[in-house]
Amino acid sequence: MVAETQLEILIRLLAATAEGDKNAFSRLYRLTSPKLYAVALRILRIEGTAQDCLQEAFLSVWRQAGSYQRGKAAPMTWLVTIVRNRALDMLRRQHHDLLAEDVELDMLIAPDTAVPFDRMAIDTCMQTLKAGQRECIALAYYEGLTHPELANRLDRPVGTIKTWIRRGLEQLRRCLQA
Amino acid sequence: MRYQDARVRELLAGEYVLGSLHGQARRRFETLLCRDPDLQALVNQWAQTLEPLNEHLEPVAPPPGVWSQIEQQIGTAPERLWSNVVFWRRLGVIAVAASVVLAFLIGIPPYQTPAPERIAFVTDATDKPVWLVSATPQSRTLRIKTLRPMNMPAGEFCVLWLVWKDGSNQGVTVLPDNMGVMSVKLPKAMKQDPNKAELVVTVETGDDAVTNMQGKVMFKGPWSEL
Repeated sequence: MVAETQLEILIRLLAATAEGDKNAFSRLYRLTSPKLYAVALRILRIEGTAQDCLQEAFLSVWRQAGSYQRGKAAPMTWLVTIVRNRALDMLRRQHHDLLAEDVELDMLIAPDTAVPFDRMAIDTCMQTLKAGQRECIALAYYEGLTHPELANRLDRPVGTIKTWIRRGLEQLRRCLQA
Repeated sequence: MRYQDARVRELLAGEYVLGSLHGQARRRFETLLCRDPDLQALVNQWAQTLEPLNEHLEPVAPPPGVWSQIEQQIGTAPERLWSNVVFWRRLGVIAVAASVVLAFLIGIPPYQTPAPERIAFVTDATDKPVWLVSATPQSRTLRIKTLRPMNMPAGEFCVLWLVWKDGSNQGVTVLPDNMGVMSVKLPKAMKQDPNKAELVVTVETGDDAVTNMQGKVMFKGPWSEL
């Protein structure tokens, strides 16, 4: 008998959750919540807010599990996307950014042949970025900082920040596709 | 148009996933994203690309209270319709339940009795409710309340259809783009029971928008009985 991989387990649990199986949902939570909580905590920084975020995100997962499309995106990417978008929304609200409405990326995992890149690949490619580019990308991803916030944090003009991010992303994509 | 430039699209998608796209730019991008599957695919690719960055985060077990709260919300009082998650899922709604209930309550004046027998929330690509459609018992009138304007581009509009299991359909109306409530009389000549149809919304462009379903399906969902 072949043991299920983590990926297969998550796919199976999501499918069962879509059918309303609470045990599967509970197991999905047990398996994924430590990582997802870490993602929320890193962006929101306040434990109570991160817990609210995790709770809302999992309620979304419970309602939307049926929209997860096997083979179109890795389950963990799908889950991280839900948590990140919830966290970014909450962060923007905290910062009184009225323009950041609570639009979700949750449902936007579109059919496509996305190539999964492993951590080693992204680490290697992150190292090919210039220091400023790398710092901008890491701060934006991990902490949800906007262009002006990055400019403030790194004490650089917004224009420089925008250039760093764009060049950093371009380089990252080139490197990962190489 | 700038958004058609492949390099711009690629970068905007990257910045969107990264989280650095904000304010007006983020809102514009999200509006485009709703209608653009290719852009959604780019966003998806960036989500996959950047996700391994999270491997650097040390997993942190959330306190048990979080799961208790979730469990409470999904597992109790199934007889209470408004708090029943399965009910919401059937409606295809992911918005915060309280806000939807509020929208619903606001949408139904107190003098209007009996209460609508069937309702459906029409949601957009991000599963946000955009219109609330309700039907009163024995009436061929549908009541449509705009919960959030779609801001459709010029020349495009959302059309509501009833679609039956055998594939036949009936165009109902062009859905309003402005806030407010409208009533629509269903044609008397309909051969099938509107209560047994599914609600479908498509994005149409032609003059025969309400008679000829050709556009992309934006929403599909059943009625929910109250």
